[in-house]
Amino acid sequence: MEQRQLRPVYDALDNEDVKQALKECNKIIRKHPNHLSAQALKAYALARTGASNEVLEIGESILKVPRSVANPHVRQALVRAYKSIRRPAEEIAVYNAALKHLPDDESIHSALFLTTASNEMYAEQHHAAVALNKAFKRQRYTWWIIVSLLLQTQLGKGSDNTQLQLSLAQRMAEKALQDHQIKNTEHLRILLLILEAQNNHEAMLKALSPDSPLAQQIANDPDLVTQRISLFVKTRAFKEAMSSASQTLEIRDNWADYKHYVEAVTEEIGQLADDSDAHQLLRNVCESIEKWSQVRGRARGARLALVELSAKLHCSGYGDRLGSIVSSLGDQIWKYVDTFQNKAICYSDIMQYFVDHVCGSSATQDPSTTISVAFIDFHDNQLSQRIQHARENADNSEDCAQAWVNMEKIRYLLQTLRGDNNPELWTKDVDLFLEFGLDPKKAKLKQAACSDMVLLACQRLIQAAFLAYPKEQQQSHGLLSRSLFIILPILEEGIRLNGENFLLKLYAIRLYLYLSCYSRARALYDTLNIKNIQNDTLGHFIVGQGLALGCYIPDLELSYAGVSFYDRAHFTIPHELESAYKNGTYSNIPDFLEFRNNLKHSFQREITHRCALRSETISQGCSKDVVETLKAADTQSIEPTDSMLASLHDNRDVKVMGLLTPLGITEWNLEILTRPSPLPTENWIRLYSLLPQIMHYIAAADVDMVEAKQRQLLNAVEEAGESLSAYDKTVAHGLHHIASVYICLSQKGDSVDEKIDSLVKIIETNIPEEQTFDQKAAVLDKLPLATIRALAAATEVFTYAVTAKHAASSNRLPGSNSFGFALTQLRKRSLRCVSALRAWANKPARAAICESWIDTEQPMLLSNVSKYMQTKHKQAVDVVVKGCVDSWLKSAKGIDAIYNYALMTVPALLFSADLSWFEPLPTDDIEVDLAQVMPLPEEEEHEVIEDTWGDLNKKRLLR
Amino acid sequence: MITIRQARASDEIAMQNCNLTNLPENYHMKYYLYHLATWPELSFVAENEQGRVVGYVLAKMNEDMTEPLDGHITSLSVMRSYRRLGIAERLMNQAQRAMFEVFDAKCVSLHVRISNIAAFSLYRNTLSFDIDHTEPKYYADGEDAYSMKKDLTALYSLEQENLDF
Repeated sequence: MEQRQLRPVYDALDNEDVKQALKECNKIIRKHPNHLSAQALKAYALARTGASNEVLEIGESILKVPRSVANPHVRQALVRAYKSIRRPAEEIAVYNAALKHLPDDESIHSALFLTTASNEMYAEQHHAAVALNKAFKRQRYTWWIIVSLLLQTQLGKGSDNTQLQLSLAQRMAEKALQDHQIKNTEHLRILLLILEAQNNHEAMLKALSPDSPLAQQIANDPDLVTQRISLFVKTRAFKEAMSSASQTLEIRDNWADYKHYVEAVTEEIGQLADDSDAHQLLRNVCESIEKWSQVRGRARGARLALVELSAKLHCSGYGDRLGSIVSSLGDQIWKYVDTFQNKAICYSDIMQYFVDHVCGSSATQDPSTTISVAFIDFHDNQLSQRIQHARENADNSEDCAQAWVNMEKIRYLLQTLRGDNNPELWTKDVDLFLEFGLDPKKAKLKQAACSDMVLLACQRLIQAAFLAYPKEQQQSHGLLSRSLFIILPILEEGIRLNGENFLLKLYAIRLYLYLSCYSRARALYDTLNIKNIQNDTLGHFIVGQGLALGCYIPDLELSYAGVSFYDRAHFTIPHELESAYKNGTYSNIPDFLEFRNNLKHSFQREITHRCALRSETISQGCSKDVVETLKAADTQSIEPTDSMLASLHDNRDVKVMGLLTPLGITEWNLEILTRPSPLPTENWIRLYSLLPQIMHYIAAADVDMVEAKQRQLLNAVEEAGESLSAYDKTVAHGLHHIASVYICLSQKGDSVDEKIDSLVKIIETNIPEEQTFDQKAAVLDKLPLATIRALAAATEVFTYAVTAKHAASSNRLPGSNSFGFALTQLRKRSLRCVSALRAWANKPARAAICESWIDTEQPMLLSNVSKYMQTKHKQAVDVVVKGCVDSWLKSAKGIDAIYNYALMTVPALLFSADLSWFEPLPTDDIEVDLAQVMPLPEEEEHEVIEDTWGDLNKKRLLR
Repeated sequence: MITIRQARASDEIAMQNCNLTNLPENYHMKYYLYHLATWPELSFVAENEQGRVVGYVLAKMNEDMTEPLDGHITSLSVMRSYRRLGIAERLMNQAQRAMFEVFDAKCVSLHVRISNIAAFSLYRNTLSFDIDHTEPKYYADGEDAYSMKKDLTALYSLEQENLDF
């Protein structure tokens, strides 16, 4: 009967028609006001709309009815509702209430355990596991207790009896092992984690011994085999480590095992007083390695092990004592290079050994301080004997081409280690690279080597450009822009020849953004097909850059993609965590939890969220409606507390750019050099958390809080120092002055005009004079590196100022009219400037690039490269010219739209009420017809915005 | 140099980056985690000396309970600059062995794009898979797939393993 009544509700929910589901629920409730299942389903439907308060109200009233949650329909619907609005405590209350009436229901006990487990409530999880085991006595529940105890000690909030809990977990797991209840390595891995937490290495070795009931599984598990060897090394049982490693190396080729083997050998040699014993041991080791190198496919590992051995002996000071058996590190390195130079991977294998050799055993963060010139000379000498031969033979085959690439990579490294700061030494021979890498016929046959050569050429040229024209010196801005512009056609041509090479694209994206060309950078970024977790690791390449360059809607679109990924992750990981418990695959549970934590507290997540909030605010910044939106927003949830900032985890991948030098040498790190703005830090998050908070308190007319937040803002900016970009500093100073103006207006202070003038000055300083754009070519000296970013920063501050003015007007504060008048004047000036920029980008820009950057007579570092590209690859040069001009034009139009459409609105998806995150939906997203809430601008004049908004309309957004 | 080890949840980041150019497929996080939560013994990554994942194999057991039990290779990927080094072979061997050892799998299957000649030849020539049949329009972009199989019983059952490790 009940099921029949509820069917239309379930059908509507299955069809994701929440509105219909609510209608059906209300229909039943009207007829049967005490129909608890209908009420619970209504709560669930409401949860899917994000109406948390209503859900909690309904839930509370249902729980007051005796035995209500004994009904499975009511229980399940209510639990799902609480899950949707992320209220685990309420979920648990439902299960506990149900257990009072159904104490023997195993599924409720189990669901209670899984809820606590997936919400990191370790103490509750342990209690639930104990209750389950007591009531149902199953082996699985014993393991749930063991895992709970382990997690409680490792991840729980400080416990006084950690050791006791670990001992208990150990006893339970060991008993299971003795009773042959451990059937697979999943259980064993948990036992090992428990023992490791107690630093009980001896017991770990015992559990991994060949006498173990799981000996066969252990022998076939590469991780456990490696762990056993490393335990021997840790316990200084070097003979056992050597023996165990050499047995496994007979059948496997794992580098981790080689490393432990070499470490054990070196330590053992240190313990041998007699040289003849040491010689004998080393001879045996070398023979074994030689034997392994003869096995098909295993030469590389074995040969590199000899290099590792030599490096270890060299570092430990045994080099001279044993040099007759193992040759010097330098010789070993070159033997390896000679053998494997035709493998793409050769350089990556050997790079660290060059660094170790040249910089000594103490090479740490700054190898340049301990550099050995003699060793560099040695390697230079070795290289010069080989590089010419490699160049001459590069055309012969793919292997020969690869050998040349590896030699050139080594040359690059040696130059870096030497600290060559002569730009011309970096551009030397680049013409050869380009001839080779950009030859379409060769690229067809030797695609990988050609792309590598193009990339190598660009890396050298970028390095040279930054050495010749340091970005810190303003007078070099024009020449730096021009140099980067010259490098871009090489990258574009490389991409045309090999569209799959993501490194060429990443460098091109960086250079375009450096030159303030968002739309071309974005087009390349889109071809990388970045999605899912890559939003977290690689999103930093572009998220926020559109904002800084006036391309608000494309940036917002990317931010939404990122935000919805994090939201999905919030539901996916707990679900799989529950699966792991159900399947008994415990080894991944601590890792799943760590992974979830890293995403939950992801740096990029916070950055993406703040960018989305800013884009939403700017896009509707001139509308009066934004005041109401900001007033209703709960900004407490984005309070940038020290503990929140300290818990952030940085998943951003900054090593992805194929660097040829150690990361520690920052002045030669191209990833750092080519950043268009500093990588956002905690200070950045603090600043852009305070921004919506200040605007909220202005909208809510809470002057005390505006003052308090303004003080925090000042402290944050002071603390941030140079970690903020010029753009961020402008926004921060602008916001500070907006707050000052508002406070003064509220307090009817005398100095309102003065405060308004200061604010106007900040904005004005960043708006170039319209005459600037009459100077044709000279515009290029500033525009790519400064003008557009400054103008966009002024626009962002302007929109906040307009919002503050609306707030002042709505509160009828005296003086708000003069504030409005000042902003009107500012708007006129900004519009004239943007109009001049648009006009320049529309026509003279192309000619200016040709005159000033391409056909110029002014000699500079990369003139020859420019001429070469013009002559041989004109098409690629044209692509870059068009890419730059179109991008600047789109930025100008984007900024123009903000000033022109004072009443335009975009839906404030994040600014709904709670600024923390979307209230997520448990199932598929709900489509929102943005056209209903977002009037599009007029067609003719604002085609760029319309296009982008048109795309956004098609998207399925969460709310 | 390469170390092969069991895949972990946190490897998902690196596995997706590994797919940046290698595969048109770019799986949802849920798919990776589902494999790791259900058959953690079957998925492996190849890690270079800097700890960067340069290849992976994602594998599972077929879920229908029909006998004989067989394993399935969901995805295999090795970064371009790490190819021709035997990494794919090592990853596959490790996954196959685990299927046999842990789940008593009798055979292993996989799908490969008919246009992916390099992968097809690896499976057929190096790893001894046979074409079972062709599945029309198997991939989302409409391309056909070869469904390939390999018998695992003959491969491992006669092996005499030395357990004195």
